[in-house]
Amino acid sequence: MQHKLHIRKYVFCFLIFFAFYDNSFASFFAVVVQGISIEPYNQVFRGIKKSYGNDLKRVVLCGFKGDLKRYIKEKKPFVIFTIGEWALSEVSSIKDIPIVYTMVLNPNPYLSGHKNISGVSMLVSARKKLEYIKKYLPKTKRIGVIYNPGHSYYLYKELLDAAKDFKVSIVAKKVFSSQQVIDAIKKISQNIDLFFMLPDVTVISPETLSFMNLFFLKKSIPIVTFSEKYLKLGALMAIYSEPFSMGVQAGILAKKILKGTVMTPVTVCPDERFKINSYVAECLGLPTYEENRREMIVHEDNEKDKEFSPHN
Amino acid sequence: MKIMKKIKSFPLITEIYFQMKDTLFKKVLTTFISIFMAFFLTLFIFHSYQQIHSIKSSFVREARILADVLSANSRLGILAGSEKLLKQEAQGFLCQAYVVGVSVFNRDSLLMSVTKRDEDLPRIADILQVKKRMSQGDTPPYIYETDKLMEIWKPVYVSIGFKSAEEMVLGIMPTKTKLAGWVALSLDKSEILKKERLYLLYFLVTFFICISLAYFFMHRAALKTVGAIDILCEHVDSFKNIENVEALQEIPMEGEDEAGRVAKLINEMIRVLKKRHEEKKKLETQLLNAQKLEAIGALAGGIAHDFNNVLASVMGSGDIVKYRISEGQEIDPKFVDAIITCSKRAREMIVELLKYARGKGMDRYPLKLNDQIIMLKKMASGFLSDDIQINLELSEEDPVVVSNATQLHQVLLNMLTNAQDAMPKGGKLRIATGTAQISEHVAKEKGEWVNPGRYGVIYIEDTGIGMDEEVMKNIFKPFFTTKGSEKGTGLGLYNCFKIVKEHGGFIDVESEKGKGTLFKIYIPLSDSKEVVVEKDEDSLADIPKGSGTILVADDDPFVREVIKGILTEFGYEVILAVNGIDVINKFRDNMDKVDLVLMDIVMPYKHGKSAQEEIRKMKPEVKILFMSGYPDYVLAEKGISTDDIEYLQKPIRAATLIKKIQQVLKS
Repeated sequence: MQHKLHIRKYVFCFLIFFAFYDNSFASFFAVVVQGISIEPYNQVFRGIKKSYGNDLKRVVLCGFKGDLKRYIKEKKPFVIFTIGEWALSEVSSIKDIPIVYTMVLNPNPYLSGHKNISGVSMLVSARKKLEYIKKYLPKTKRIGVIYNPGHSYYLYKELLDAAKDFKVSIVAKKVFSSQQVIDAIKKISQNIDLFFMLPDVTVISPETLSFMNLFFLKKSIPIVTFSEKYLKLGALMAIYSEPFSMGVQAGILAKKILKGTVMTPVTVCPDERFKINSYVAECLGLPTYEENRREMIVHEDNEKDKEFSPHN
Repeated sequence: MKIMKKIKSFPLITEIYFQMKDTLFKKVLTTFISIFMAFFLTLFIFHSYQQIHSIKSSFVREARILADVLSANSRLGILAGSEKLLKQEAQGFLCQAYVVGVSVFNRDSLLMSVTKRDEDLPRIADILQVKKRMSQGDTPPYIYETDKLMEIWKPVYVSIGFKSAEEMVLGIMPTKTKLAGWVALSLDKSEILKKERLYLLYFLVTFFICISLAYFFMHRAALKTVGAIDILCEHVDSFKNIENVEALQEIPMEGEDEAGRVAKLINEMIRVLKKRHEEKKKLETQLLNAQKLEAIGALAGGIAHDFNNVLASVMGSGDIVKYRISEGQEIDPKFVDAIITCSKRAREMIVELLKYARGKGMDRYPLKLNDQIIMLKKMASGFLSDDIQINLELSEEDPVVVSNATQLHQVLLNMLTNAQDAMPKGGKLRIATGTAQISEHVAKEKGEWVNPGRYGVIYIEDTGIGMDEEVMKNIFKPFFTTKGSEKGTGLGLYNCFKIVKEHGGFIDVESEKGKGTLFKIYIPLSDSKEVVVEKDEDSLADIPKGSGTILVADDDPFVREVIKGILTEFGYEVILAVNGIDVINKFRDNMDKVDLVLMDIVMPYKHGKSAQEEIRKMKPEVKILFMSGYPDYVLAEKGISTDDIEYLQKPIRAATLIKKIQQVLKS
């Protein structure tokens, strides 16, 4: 008698599952192309898997010996996810399958003429960062930035454009080689309230990072950086996005593309996170923000729709 | 032990140690200290080596750290190509006490910056050497040294940079580096040397303290270890005078350890020794008594023997004198002389005998051997038989020896007696004198008491029966005689040998059975030629006759009669008394006419001194002259002093008696 009761319970649950199951998305198989197997990329993959589902086939290029394009054609995925710039460059020639990229700092070179390529930006937008800066360092008027025009002009331009709305001036120094960085740091330190770090390989190296952090700390100039890793080296504030969160956003974006609810190509801003080095804050005589810290952090599982912005 | 006590008060260690006798304690102490010193020296050397090595290692380690820091801090300067930055960094390093120079090179080996304390600071190595070592796979840093300087080279590596901006955003720090340049750090080694010297000083001080402490503790340990042995040794030291057994003391030590057991054995040994010593003393006493008896016997024998000789001469001469008187023949004065000489000889023998009995040696004085031989011949003529022909061969050299006439006569008379005995049917007797040189070799051969030098020799040769080898070997042994126990005592030649030995001389014998015997008596010659001449003070010729009455008291009737005869011959009236009471009575009876009382000191009933008191009470001014056959020391033992009285020692020659009486009467 008891046994029959259990069977009825399982049958009921099965019928309910099929009644509500969205079978229209069930067969959207996807291929995830990953450049190398490093932890941040793996986190992105886990994020994709979480939001897109398990019908995924991951290919890690480092160690893959076959013909990737042929492989993808054979698999016939509904969408291709790329993690890292190498993966995007490998599949960017495919035009008949939607491609959702992640972990690409500057996807612009791959976007022109490719309407099937969308993705999640790697950096939090300059506007968002300025919002945080103005919110927590309201006295900031002059923001210093050092960049190599050949590498990160687009980031400088984005910041410059955003700065207009926040009534702050950008003090910029151009450098063309790493030898010029030290001098540039010394010079720029004389006329800024805050240093805004751009991800420029000419400007940023382990050596310049150390010097920069110590130097600005000595001058009581806070540094705003793009990765929480640099907080430990002496930066005051990090406004960044986490790889897992980016993966989740990429999965959601892919679903929307497949449903047709979003017109490609689009670039989605990542969920931002905000952290402060309380030790540096103390050194600089700033509030430690401990009380407000909770509200500063945007959690990765916030799945609310973000503002979609077309490619620039 | 005194040293041990000194050590206990702990004076200067070295002084005590080197003054210490080479005892077991010192050996143990030395062993302990040697082991301790070896242990600590090894420990200290090892420790010092470690410390000095550690100081240097520490210095090198510190230099390496500084080089590491300099290398890390120079990255920006090299990257920026900024000499200013590099110099700023270098100045910071020069603040270190022993950093004297900092040089930075870029990867193209170009000197970017050099900062020195002293402009003349030399460089030990150059960049090419350093690069060569690096190309050879040698692991940096590279250290170059001179006596005073150390240079440490370290490559400067910088990151190759982020591969991509994405990695930078993700915070994936680049791990690979590339060579950007070189830094060279010059260091002054004098700091190490200072530390090393300081440590050596510390080592020496510590070592000295440790050794001192070790000595203190080792001394105590050694003292405890060998203390018991030391007590043993202290007592054993007293055994050096082991002859003095009574002074030996038992070791006050108990316990069952090795020292205790040895002490127990030694104590047992001491007890046994003391017991045996007591027994020995008893035996010695017994032996002494026996020896005394034997000596008395020997002495009596000797005296009897010599006296027999003298008496033989006296009696023989007396008999002849008596015979001639009875026959109405003229008396040959030589027989009277023989009687007188032999009597004198007997008196001297008694004197010498008494001296001997009192432990006094006989007097010796220079004597001419020839004179003594002549005198001997006179003496011998009284007892030698007529069939013995005496031949004198006196040396023209007239040797003088230091001797005693009595002893010399005793020897010679013995020899003559033996010669007469060896010639029962008569024969020739040669008596000769001479001198001889005794070499060292001969002296050694004759006896240890014989010294090399010149000797006077008396030859006595007979033509008697002679002796065989066996007899010759034994003639000087006591109680050896070939004459039979009734005739000989066996002490004659023994006494001769002893007397000659006492003179430092010796006797040689040459004999052949049936042909005769030659005795050669060697006596050391005197250094002086002056001799003592015996004056015949007993001559009655020049003594004047006297007068008066003399009371003579003696218990011996012969003595009384002889004295009476002598006094009467010289004009004195004589009254005789026989003992102490008799003399008092006779004096009382004849008080008015007695001029002098001559009495024996020791007499029956009342001795002479008591009698004197009685007589003096009756007539204080009366002259009293004492005489006695007892020697002084016997009288002293009897409580009679001869110091305050007029006294004559018997036997008294007639001349001596008369002279003394005349002297006392005049006084």
